[in-house]
Amino acid sequence: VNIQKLDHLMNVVGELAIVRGAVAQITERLRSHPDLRYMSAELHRLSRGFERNLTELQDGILDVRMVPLGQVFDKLARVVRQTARDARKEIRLEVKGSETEVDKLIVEELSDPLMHLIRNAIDHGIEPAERRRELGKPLQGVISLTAYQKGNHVVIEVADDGAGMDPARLKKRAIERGLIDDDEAREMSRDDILGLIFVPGFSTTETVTDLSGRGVGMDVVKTNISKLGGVIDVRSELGKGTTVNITLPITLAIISALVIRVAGQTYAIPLANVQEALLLDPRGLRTVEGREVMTLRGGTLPLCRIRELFRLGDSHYEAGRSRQFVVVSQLGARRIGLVVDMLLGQQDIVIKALGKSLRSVRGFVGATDLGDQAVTLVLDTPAILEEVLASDSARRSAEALS
Amino acid sequence: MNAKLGAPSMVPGVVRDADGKARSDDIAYEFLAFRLGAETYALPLAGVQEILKPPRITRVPRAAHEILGIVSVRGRVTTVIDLRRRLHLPESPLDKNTRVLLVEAGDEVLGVLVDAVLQVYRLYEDEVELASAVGGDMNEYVWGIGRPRAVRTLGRSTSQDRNDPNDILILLQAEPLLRR
Repeated sequence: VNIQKLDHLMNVVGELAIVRGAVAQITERLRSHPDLRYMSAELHRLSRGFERNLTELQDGILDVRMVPLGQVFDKLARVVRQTARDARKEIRLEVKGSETEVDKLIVEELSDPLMHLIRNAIDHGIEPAERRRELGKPLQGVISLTAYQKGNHVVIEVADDGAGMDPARLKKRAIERGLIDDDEAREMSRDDILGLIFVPGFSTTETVTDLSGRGVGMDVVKTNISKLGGVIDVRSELGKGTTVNITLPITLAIISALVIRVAGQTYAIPLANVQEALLLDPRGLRTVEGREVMTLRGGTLPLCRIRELFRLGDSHYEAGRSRQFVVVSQLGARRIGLVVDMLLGQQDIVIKALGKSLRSVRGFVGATDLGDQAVTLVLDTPAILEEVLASDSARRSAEALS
Repeated sequence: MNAKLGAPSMVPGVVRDADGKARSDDIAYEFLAFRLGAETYALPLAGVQEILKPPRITRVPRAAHEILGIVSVRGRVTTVIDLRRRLHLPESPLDKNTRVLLVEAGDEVLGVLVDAVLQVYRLYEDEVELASAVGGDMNEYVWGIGRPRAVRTLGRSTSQDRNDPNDILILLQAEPLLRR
């Protein structure tokens, strides 16, 4: 099936949804008219029927887009056999959940990142047979590829029972590469340290082999997954193995979003990027190296005021508001709190691309019609997070120089 | 630069006869004229897809100054530029004559905000001066100057005629409107 054609159909459905919204509004207005109450009830009944059919149509189109992950998994099984033979390692691949369905576009983009993870597991994860014998592990290494659905997301796990990663070694490497300094290294949590493998310029292999370590690192894998609206994280236990977890939205066509308002403007934030939203407690605010932060469950959460980032100015609109909210967003192991004026609620949205003329504008993945006639921009939270944290470190090094 | 008209890629809206042949002896260009402040500008008619009353425009933070924002035209997100800002004219509030032209600019359809849409002009070769021939510090989006004879020669030439803003059309090309 041609995805472009399906996208077009989805656009039409989006338009129909807007019509439905308009009809619902008219129905509501008619109801307050005593003479027209009967007509309003009739119209209401009709629009409910319309809505039911529309939902079915939407589901139908989404369904056509879905393909089982088995398509990629089969390809990976061949890679494992070939790669294991080349590396002279005995490896068994265990696949679970290949019937799990994902948007066709996502499946197409998944094959490279997964291939990379599998190669990493074979090359750096699973130990050679002699070493496994010494350790008392079964001679045959196991790589498991597991997929399952979790709400509106699909989780894909790539796990190996190999050597695992050594936090101390990761830290040392990161310091050698100049990615972090000693002070930063001391303050890092275990998760932070494992997250280092996703930082550009980091590679733990001492020797570059034929299999991996060809400059295409985990940072590229992460970027590819983020582009699909997904999140990647890693757990590892020294001597026991490593598990990489990829969480992806089921479809790119329709996503759930949190609709917010700031300085009189409405924006949507993909829920896939939202951990939680909470009331901002002004008393809990601190400043660390010029960046506003708050404490969230014992951790430090850097804040970004959308009003300032987007230079929305001191609109009188909600200037008097004392209540503000923090939308906590995460990208891998890093988090940021976006400060907004109002949470308007959750809504399913269809993301549409912005024109080429806006390609250079950072911070938005696209726009969507919320059905109130005006278009709403959809925030690119991973990009905002990168931008804010990058500008912080740039400022820090500028200050260090002066 | 060659001032000769009619390089095929540069011919917006060549008028053709019923049999589809271009009338080579009197090539004409069709332009849609619109008003911006006191001046009359025009864009090639062939590239104008639609004329809209201004929809609600959503501002895009951190976009270029001349970009007013985005609108949805039948489900497609379209960038709207303020031609006044692009041409460095003073800004003016929208009124009942304000229109958005949907214009093909390269591989994107742009919304172009103008003060008022006037009419379609058919210009013959001798009614157009190419920007390259006029010289001066013309901007890259100005294709030429149109002097529609019909307006100039209609009736007797009076002082009133000479002051008619329709006297001169500033002919624009759509694609460079976004380039900076």
